[in-house]
Amino acid sequence: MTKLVIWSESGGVGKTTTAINLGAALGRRGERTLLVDLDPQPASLSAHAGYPEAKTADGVTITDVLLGTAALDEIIIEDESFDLVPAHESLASLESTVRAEGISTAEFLLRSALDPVVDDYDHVIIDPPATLNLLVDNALIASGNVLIPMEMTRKGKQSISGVLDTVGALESQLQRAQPEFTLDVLGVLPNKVDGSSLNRAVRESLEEDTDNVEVLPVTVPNYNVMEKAWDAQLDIFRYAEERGLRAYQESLLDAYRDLAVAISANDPAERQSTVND
Amino acid sequence: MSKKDRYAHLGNEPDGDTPAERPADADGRDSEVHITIDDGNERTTLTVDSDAASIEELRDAVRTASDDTSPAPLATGVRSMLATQRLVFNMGITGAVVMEQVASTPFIYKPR
Repeated sequence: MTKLVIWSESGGVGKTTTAINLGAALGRRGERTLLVDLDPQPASLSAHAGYPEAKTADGVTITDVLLGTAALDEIIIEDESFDLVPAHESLASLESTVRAEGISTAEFLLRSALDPVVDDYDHVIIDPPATLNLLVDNALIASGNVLIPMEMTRKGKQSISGVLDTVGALESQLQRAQPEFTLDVLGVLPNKVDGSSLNRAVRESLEEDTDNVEVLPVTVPNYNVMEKAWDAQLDIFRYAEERGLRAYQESLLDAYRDLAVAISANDPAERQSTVND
Repeated sequence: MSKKDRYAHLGNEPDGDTPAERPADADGRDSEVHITIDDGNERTTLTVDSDAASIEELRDAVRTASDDTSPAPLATGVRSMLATQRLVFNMGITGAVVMEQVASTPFIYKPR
């Protein structure tokens, strides 16, 4: 069972598109996958997956689940390739709510909420907001693994150090109370790559500068059909089936299939040997 | 605030001890007491460090907590927990308070 959070402190690097398309690729491999949307903003994973109304719906929400007044399986949506826990706009006030109520386990709410269902899945993928806040803390602690999508630019490279600082600080502090806790970086995913010389230079320098972080041997190209898939509220695999892709765009499908293989292997050595660049 | 400062509280229990620093029980487990409260509509589980109170003390405290006038510290603590969880608690109605001693979990509340 793999639990991972797709996160970067930079916005717009492709966290949500990575989450939904990796989830779809895993699901199409026959692996039971749960996507968890923790981002309260309207343009999040739930909207991309075709459930924008869930963000403002009445009734039981992810916020109720995190606060312990409802069970997670009450809100899971079964989609074609994956199951989805939709986010809700009320998540925006979760931090103030738990502080006001003095809930001392605020950072562990998602881990507790997931416990009853994790055995039902091969993979749990969490998509939190970019901004470091309580929702990100919950995602990091609940998953224990981070996948970092990165645009291959100087700015993108600078954002990696911020993620690594957060991961290191959280892991070291929490290990004082829970020595068995680990928070691993599964790797950096080169995303929105257009093959420019700058992309290549950044990739090379990233591999040289980050000894402890693997740059995944998967490259997701930068094609605007991804935006069309978002508009159509479809993952790229379903978009390809329903609307079609140009031949060159099919490398997107290969990239997410390769990423799914890498995540399924869940072993750094095995990832290296099973994934083609 | 640095990121290390942001997460500093996660390494400490309320009194500054950590499970790693605290002696384990004779059976080798850090022990805590889980209190599951069922008011007929919802269930919630609270966890209390067994260093702070025994199961019997907590059971008495939960019973006493239905009496709002009790000044007992444990009863006050339990009332605080119940208020925090926004539970409607009435022993006479719910009739279901289950306590069990379990292995260590990170969720620790010390009624002081």
